[in-house]
Amino acid sequence: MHELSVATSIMEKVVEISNDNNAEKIKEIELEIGSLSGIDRASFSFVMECLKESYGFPDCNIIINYHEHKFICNNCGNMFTDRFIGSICSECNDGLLTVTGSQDVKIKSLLIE
Amino acid sequence: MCQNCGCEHGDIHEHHHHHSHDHQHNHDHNHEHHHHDHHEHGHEKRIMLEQDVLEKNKVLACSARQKLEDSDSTLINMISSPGSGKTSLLEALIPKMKRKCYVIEGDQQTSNDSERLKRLDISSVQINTGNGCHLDAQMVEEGLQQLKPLNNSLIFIENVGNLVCPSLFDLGENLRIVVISTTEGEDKPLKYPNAFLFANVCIINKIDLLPFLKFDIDALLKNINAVNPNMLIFRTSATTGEGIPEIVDWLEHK
Repeated sequence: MHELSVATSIMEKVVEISNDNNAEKIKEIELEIGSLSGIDRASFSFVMECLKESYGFPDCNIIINYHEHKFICNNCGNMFTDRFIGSICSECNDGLLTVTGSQDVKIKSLLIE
Repeated sequence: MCQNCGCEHGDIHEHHHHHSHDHQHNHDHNHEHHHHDHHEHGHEKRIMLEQDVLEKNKVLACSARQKLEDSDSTLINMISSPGSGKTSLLEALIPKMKRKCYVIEGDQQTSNDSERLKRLDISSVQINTGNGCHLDAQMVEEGLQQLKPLNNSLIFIENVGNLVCPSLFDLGENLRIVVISTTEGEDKPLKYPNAFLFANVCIINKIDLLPFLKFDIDALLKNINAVNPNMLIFRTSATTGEGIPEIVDWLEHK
């Protein structure tokens, strides 16, 4: 389950940065996840909530900005957000949908005290 | 120095709240930032990071890719479900290659695959991931250090059998091959799109079993094309050798 290893990396980085800044408390972790990163949203959220307890900041607010990918039909140019990769365009029923999106997994910011 | 308030926190200090300050400021803590839109406790600090969590993996992967390109070598990351025949394909391919070949074997446990390859005098190193579901660039770097590949060689990475997690991690490869066998479903590319979306090549293995299976290869090809129209596709049987010379010929020139 790669969500656990990614979440653990995040927590270790958060602890390192908060120590460097002499933080007494980590109040908020803001993350950015691209939907093409292979990170499952629900699993990742669950793991982050579990880890914040075990890392000693149970009251920390975790914000996950999840950036969905988009699909563009290579025939008619219509754009969609709610399709599966490999779908055929539902407008022209002909073109393949090309997926565009982010693979990023980023720590955007920390709010410490 | 912070451009908003002049405090010492510099460019990592961000004022978190933005609504207007229309209430009495009756808190008893001591802070000087009266010009803020809204009070923020003086001890709070927002650190802007924009830090890529997989940065270390990406740096290692880029470094490995550059080193191998400089030595005219090619690193190939093979991804598939368990049991699609990756090791059998390597056993069929490598003895026919003129270029020197090496294998980094990834499995949760055992060195069975590496031992199979060593019996054919194929240089290989086994990496056990324990509970891990994928290889990462650090593991591959350690494998390369053990193998010490010669210039102009091919290094195959046989990733952990899994179509989900390995597709997330750049291992420094120049080529990514996804292997699917005819004993799997034709809709695998649709069910596990990331594995196919980010691959350059698809090998359809166990092609010799087609007469005995209800497997619609045209449906598979259609699904692969729907996910990744640029995919180069080979059809092989590691058992009969069908399709192996075509891959050997292609790899000799990569």
